[in-house]
Amino acid sequence: MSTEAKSRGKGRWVFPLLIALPFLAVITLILIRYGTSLLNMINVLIKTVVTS
Amino acid sequence: MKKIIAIPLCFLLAAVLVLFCVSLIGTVVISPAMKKDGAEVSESVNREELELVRERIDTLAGLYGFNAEPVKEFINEETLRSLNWQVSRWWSSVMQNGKAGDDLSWDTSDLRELLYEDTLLTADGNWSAIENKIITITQEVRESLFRVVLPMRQSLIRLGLKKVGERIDLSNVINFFMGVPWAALALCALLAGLIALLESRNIVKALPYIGSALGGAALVLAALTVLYLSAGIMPMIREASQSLTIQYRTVETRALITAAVLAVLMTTGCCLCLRRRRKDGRNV
Repeated sequence: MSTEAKSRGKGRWVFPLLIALPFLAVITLILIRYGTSLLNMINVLIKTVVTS
Repeated sequence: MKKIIAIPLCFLLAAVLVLFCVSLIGTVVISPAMKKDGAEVSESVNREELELVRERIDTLAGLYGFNAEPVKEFINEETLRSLNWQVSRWWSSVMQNGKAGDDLSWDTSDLRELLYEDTLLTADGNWSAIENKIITITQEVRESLFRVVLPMRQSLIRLGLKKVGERIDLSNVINFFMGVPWAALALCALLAGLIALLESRNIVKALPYIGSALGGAALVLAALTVLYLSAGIMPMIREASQSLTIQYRTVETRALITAAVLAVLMTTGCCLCLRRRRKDGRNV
């Protein structure tokens, strides 16, 4: 196998990361926009439903 | 041209794989409650709940001035087991019919008899006051037991389920959700087949795409797990109720084990697909 082919072969291991990146970006955006309010909502829900 | 179609298919495959993983974890969490006779409660949960009840009885004994030891002996693991079975049935009713089950019941007559024999309580001889005290203690012990096995406001959940039931058929939604992982898995197979079809029906050429989708889905699943763990849901529950923490821990462990198994499987699949292609020595 030539050096070029070897380096291109190694480059394959980056593909999963490239596939995951858009999903991670969307998750990060959702977290930035709704993260705090979502956590507050969960906290209120737990305190409302649960008896201590 | 092939690549232009194969890459979006690869992204779609990763998205469906993530949907499969998330829905499978959800299914694993709720499946014990889908049994007709309810889920089995582990002995360790029973024991931890019993400890909580006994601590509460000690507090009540200090408050009302009765002998705690006979009451603590009276409420044993069998009592907790029977109540937990009722709770399992209650959850099964919520999951299967979309309605809260029957209220928990526990016969207090034997406990009352036991308290009548307590010399610490009956020492002053004022029977009307003693009877009132015994009724109060019995109710407090009963409430403590119920709060430990089902630390939820049952009336509130019943009302919530009724309101939700007016808009949607909850049991149908849950049944639909139980089928989602398998539908997603079938869609994954279909997408993988489509990618192979695009690559001149050669599965070896399609392997880098499938491997990348598997690896990408594993990374997203790992990120979601890390996010959940860092969100601090468990401390919130711990702050709200000790007994719910005990019950939630078993559910959380089951979900995390499933997530770990899925992540390992997908990573292995990714490595096998990408290695196989590299050994092949050809590039897409």
